[in-house]
Amino acid sequence: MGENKAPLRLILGGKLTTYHPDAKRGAVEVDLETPTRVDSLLKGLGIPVKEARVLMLNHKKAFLNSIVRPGDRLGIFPPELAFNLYVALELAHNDEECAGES
Amino acid sequence: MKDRIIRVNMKTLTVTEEALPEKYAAYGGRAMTSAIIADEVPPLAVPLGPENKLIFAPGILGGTASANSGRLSVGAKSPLTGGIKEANAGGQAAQVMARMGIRALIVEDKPEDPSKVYTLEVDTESAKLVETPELKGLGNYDAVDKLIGKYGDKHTALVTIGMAGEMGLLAASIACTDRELRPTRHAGRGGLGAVMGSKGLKAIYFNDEGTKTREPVDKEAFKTAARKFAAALLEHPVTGEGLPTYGTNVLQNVINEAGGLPTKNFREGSFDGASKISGEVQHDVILERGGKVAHGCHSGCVIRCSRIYNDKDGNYLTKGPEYETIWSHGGNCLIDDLDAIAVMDRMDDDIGLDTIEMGATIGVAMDAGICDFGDAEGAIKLLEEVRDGTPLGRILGSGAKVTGQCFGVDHVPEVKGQALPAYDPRSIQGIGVTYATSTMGGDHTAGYAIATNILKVGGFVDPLKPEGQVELSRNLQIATAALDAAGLCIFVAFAVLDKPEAFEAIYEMINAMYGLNLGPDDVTALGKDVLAIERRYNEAAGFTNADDRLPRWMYTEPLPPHNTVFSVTDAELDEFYNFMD
Repeated sequence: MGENKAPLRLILGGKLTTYHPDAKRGAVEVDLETPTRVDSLLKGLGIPVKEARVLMLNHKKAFLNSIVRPGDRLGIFPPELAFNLYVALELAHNDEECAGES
Repeated sequence: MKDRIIRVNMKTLTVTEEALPEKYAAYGGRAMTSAIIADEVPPLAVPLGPENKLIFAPGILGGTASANSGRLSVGAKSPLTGGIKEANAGGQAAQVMARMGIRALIVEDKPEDPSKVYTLEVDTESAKLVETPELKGLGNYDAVDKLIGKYGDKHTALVTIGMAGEMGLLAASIACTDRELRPTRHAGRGGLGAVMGSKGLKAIYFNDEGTKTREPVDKEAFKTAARKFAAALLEHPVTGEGLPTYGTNVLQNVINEAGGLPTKNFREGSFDGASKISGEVQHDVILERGGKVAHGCHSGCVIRCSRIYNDKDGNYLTKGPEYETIWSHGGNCLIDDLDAIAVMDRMDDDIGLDTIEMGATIGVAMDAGICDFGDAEGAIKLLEEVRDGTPLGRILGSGAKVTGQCFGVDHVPEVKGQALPAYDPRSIQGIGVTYATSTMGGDHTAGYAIATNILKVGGFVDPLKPEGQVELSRNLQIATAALDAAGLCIFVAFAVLDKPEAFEAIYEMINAMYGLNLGPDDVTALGKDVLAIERRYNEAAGFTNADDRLPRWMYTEPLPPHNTVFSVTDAELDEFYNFMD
């Protein structure tokens, strides 16, 4: 995976679009040199953890300790968006990939 | 204002008024339309024939001070599904009808001369039919302009059909004007515009001058309950913040990231272009062009999920568009151009077409090679064919199933002849149960399992597994039927499912309005009664359990990205109506 130089594609929901200058117009690309934990990525973007209530990694549920890699796709949705999605989607087949707690 | 039942006979061109029968006293909205259809329309009636009847009914809370109580139910035997139909619309018609005391307006039979078109004029005292040849062949926008020119814009609410309804096309809708007197709120599903057209009725003009908000039997109790209800809606993050800010299209990114966004005629579950046409992008585009977000489609709406969408020059183009439309004309056709989608929304509203049915139909047409996926200009040209009534346009205007049959497409997303909406049931199993079992055909609003499958409002059932989906859908369909009878907007359900006080407030308002003593069980019983009436009607019309199935390919073709198929068994689906005697 380390050879993959493709950028990370980010979909920021609702007010989270203010955390990236290009997010107002849809998915944005972020350079990612190495596999990174989601919480570290959020910190780098300046997004408070409590604002990232729903995480979707490549269309599957993710957690703060999930690892994102170059070429991945990550959706980050705040509590007020997506209706009242306060907890991440429970996509059961994703459990083994994302064993951590949100 | 006394209760009124208005009966319009299009053969004799006479209008009569009758007292509200005792058996309908507790009915409103969908309960009223479905009960009258069951009582008066033979189940084997030809939908566009003289035996069918078109019924308009506000809900039992319509015209009151209750928040979000202005939904209109329109019912008939559907020419699209062949079964009973209730199509639900916003706009001002229901509030106005209710304030005028109209519990139901029944349109029956057909004119001797099918070339003539009529307008029904209704005021607080009487109603009459007038011949209006000047409206013949007009789209909804032009028809409304002419009617406003004739009647003025004060105390006016209009219901019209466009060219599609006049042509008898199966995707034809019925338009209701909004607070700005634009024909943007449609009883879209099931082809009821064609029923109205078959009766030679082009328009209904309501004049509610002299009316006021309906007074409850117990004013103080009503005020208390109504305040509790409105507060719950405003406090809930869905109805108080998410929907007003981003509209229903807030779902675009969420459903896409969940892998449940039907893409390329239901061949994939996510669309690369979704984020370009998301609710967030739409929000900014609307504000940059001087449009409006947080717009209520009818007076008394506190959720305000509607918006006003202007074109690049800042001129009004259309309302919304809302999520279902942006999906149907967008990802379903691989189109990621918000302006092109808005143009199609405007055309659908003007021609008088159901946006879900038309987007799904164009997706099928693209599958047939009539135009390429992603070709927005080509898609707009197809709608022009419908508007102009060309042979191709008449096929397309008759919906996804007919189009698939005419062009040999084996991948048509429909149940009971009605196109499926914006959630793929292979990723969101609960909505598949609703699509399969609803008396309405492929319909998401009948039991919005998205809320619990994806949005996790009011509990959670894993969207990718069959367990619990039938019970979930059944409970939601019962609750929805009751909401539809009350005339409440379906979006109140987000608060009602989460906040016990919101649910309490609904039956407390009904009790205070009518001097009743209903409890939660009575609300459930009403919902069950409505579903039972509709199910029995459909059975008499020839439907069996075999009709309660999704298209076969949804059981066999895995949907990326989850690569799942619909896995609720036939036996489980057949248990859906086990609450009936």
